Amino acid sequence: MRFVVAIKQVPDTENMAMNDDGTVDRTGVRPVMDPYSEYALRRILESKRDGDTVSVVTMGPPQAESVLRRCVALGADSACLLSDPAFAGADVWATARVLASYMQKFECGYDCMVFGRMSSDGETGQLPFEVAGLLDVEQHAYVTDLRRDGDSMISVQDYGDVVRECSVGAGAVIAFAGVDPNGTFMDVPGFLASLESNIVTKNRVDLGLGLYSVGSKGSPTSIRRIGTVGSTRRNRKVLIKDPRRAADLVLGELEAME
Amino acid sequence: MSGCSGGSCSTCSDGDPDRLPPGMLREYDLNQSTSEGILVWIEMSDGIEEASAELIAESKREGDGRVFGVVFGGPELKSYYPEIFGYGVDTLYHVRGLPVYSPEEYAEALAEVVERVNPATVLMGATPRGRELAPRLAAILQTGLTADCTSLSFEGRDVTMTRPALTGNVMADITCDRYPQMATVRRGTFEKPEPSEGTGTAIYWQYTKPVKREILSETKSVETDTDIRDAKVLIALGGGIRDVSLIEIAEKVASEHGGMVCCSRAIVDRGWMPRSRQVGMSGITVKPDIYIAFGISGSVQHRAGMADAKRVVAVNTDPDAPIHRFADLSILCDVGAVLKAMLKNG
Amino acid sequence: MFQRNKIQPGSGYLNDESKMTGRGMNVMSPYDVSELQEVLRVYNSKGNPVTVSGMRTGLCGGAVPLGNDVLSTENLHGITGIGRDDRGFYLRVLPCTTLNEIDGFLRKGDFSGLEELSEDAASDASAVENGLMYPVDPTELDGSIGGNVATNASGPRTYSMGPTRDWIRGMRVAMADGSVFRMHRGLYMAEGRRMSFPSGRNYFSFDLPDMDNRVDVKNAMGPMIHPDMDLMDLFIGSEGIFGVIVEVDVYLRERTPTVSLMAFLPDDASALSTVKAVRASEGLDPEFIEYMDVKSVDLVRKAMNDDPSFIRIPTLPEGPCSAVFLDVPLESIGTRCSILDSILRDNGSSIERTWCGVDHSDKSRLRSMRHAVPRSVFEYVASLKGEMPSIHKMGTDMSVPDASADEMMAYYHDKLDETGLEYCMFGHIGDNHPHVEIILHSMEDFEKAREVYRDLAAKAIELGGSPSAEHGIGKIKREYVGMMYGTEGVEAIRRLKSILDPKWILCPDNIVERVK
Repeated sequence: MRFVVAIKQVPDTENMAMNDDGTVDRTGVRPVMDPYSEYALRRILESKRDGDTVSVVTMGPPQAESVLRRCVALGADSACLLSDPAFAGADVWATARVLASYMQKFECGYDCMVFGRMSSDGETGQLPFEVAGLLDVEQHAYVTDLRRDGDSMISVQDYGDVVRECSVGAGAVIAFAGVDPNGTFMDVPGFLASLESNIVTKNRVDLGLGLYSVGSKGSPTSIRRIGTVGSTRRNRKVLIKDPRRAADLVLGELEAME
Repeated sequence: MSGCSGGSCSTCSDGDPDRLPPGMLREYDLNQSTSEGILVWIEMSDGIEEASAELIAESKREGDGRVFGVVFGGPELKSYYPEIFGYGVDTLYHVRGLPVYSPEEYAEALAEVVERVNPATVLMGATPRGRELAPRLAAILQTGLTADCTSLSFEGRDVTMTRPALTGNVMADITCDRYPQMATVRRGTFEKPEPSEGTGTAIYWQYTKPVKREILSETKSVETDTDIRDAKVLIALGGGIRDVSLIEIAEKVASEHGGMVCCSRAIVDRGWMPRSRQVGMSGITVKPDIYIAFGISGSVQHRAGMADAKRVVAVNTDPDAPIHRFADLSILCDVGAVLKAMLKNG
Repeated sequence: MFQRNKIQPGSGYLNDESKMTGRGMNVMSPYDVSELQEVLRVYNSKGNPVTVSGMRTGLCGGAVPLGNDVLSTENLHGITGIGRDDRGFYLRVLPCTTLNEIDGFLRKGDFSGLEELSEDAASDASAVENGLMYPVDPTELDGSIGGNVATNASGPRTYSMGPTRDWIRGMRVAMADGSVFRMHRGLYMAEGRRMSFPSGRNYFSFDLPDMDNRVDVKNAMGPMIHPDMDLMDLFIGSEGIFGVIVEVDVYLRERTPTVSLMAFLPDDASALSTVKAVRASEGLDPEFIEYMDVKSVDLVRKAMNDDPSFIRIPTLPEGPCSAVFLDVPLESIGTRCSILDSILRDNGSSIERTWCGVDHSDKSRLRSMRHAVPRSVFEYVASLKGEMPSIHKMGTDMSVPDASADEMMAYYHDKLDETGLEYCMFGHIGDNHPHVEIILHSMEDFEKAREVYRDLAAKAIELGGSPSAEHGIGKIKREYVGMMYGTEGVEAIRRLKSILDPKWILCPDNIVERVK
């Protein structure tokens, strides 16, 4: 089977500083692999059988190559970076267009396209289903398990109120629900192999997309105004060493409610 | 999607200027759409989903033009018509032929209705199903979608959608250059309307294509958990909780005060609490009378879910945690010790 | 004028990470150097002592006051200048700037807005290809640079790059009388044992005591004293007893891209022999070598079982294993890995069983695993709920020269196994400087451990090593100053203090006890 895992790189939030006005300071922050994507990739690699191939794709700036290299080190067979200055400022729709074009042009006949649940930098997980819509293929959201059943696959989806088992049709989009907060490490042979591997880069022209189909020009939505999140609360901060006293204070607050 | 690059030139937009690339619409001011009104997908789950009801009522109150509803199901839904009209739907499309939820065909059918109705705005509740249906529909309609909005402001047929921006403690006002404009909105964002009986036009819409997806089995999760949205007192646990046994203690403390325990994403990711207890962008929006946050740093995503609590108390050892700016009272103290001390008192 | 605030009961000014609790009335936190000078002038004229404190991350009570007031440098933090001399770039920082702040600042690589201490230093520094770094990396990155200088702090990278001492270009020091002077390496050198330097309107000239420090091992045992020495070395490691550091110039080096490797081995012996082979090998060039014995890895595993997100690392390999952690240059990494692989194969493991990290986030996760050991020990001890609520464990901090490494290691095991105490061993094995954490179950254990500790310290000194390799002396380890330098040595340090601080007002109980 041929799997394509779409991964996302996010700013390294662990090592990121805050500006004085509360916004995130992105200078010098290198991209790292989003943990949700990493989880999805690992689930696919673990279920990989002989003869299967797993390729990885992401849309991002040239620095994102290091993240793809890491995917190869973890066991992906190939990786492709979709990168073009014109891709900057893309909203979900414009990103989905780029991914869908890539799938149609370069991954014909793939069996399954895989995403993580969402990304840790705040996007809410619409991308897999916009891509599924553009490709006109089945979509499986909130997947907790992806089983092999002979030559086909079965997904287990958790909608919260209902758990569904569905057979996975050809070319389906799978979005995993979980994440492993502890993540994973490369092993050395994988890492050494990844240094040799060739990360393919495709730009806008390779994907056959017009200038007005991508990036901010191809994005129907745009940000009109950014406002800091104001607070109307009058904050009182107290430092208390004794948990007993702190507890009494909280309990006092509770009693005031009743 | 057509095989060509699509939508980047006027010939690819099938002669429909509304389908021109958004950048061109903006640059040459070509938007000639005649779309009008608001269409809401009405989700059914043991009755009308509250998020849908809230959206209908808000659309009626603040929006411009007619309010259209789309509901999927069999004849049994007829009994809900008065309630649906009561919330403010003017015209209801009742889609038949899709007895079981299937995102592919639901999106297809919704797209058909949208083509017919030509609404300026399409809204859905940001429920698990809404969250996967809306993006697929947006892709079919080739329009933009703003997910998980925290507020909508209508101006004529146009709507400005506000949501927390990607990373960072900022809110972004977002507009969409194409029609319909699409948004998903969490339950609890708008006031919950009182059920009342109303009347309006109901139209049957027969969906004729077969369901492609093969569903092998479906099990209802036994959800005995009461909804954290109903709790007046909420004790919230975050990444600062280092010891799983504290959850049990928090549960005891909460029950002593007639409240419930909820959490931030960190706790759900660790597998310590179910997703149904998660407050925030990717969780649930709550509006309790008092929200006591233990060990929650207070990312913008989390705050989106609890900003409307009447009173917020934060207990955290980190004096620089952003949560303090959003709390009425901050206590800098060991989280676990305070929780334990509260229990002994109860 | 400066402000004097009452120390509130239970406030942090009376503790540091040693959990030792002191006594003190007031705290002054000057906002600039002239305010700090004012504090010293007033206190010196009255003969009232002050204990200097920064981030209070010390492990030996150096910042803990014993009955006197506290002079906190907490408001003196920030990076003020960038310069370049023959050796390379240097950064001028205020004393309470933390290593994390410096690291974050250098990672951003934006030097605009700093004072240029030499021409074009800022733009040249921004142009360095891989960026700049301050290489000394103690476990506690939230410690202040002032504290690091005062204790001559070291970390894993000391193996290849030396301790804090090697990276200090110069500093400004406030003396007990409030006078301030600036020095840099090579400016004030002793002639033989005669040391002279001006400070404000004062001129100090005195004979250095007749003692020599060990410079061939990792050592944080007080000031360094030897003939023809640099005045800088007298102040570095002096734990604030001679003067207050008010500004530091730290040298930087270009960041070399490295790969972090965490190898797992079947037992302690195989890990130790791996370490030896790595040190002897050519072409590996590790920046540091760290060690975790089977017990340490076990304790981390236990802590992870209780809290899966204790540290963000995957499940550890099953069964007993020890670990060796090293950073090697990325350049010709293939060759380096095959060298390491053959070493690992000789010791019952292989490169396939090795985790590796290349980007900053993976590397810091590997680092956090090494640093999780002390906390795992702490959690384990807490779970024992032993008889003694206050004392649970005892940690050592001893180093020996390379030649005696095996002997010391054997002595550790013999001595500790003989007593039947539970212990784990981890740390800077590259510098022959493992930390031994002895876990105490009972009062009886405590007595046994104290005895063993004394024996171990005596053995380390006998072998030419140091009983305090990196944590300093403060108030807790003063006993070992006597063991190492003898009564005369202690007296010599006392005399030196009386010359530089006649009224003994600066950190009066650090390194040597106040003369009553």
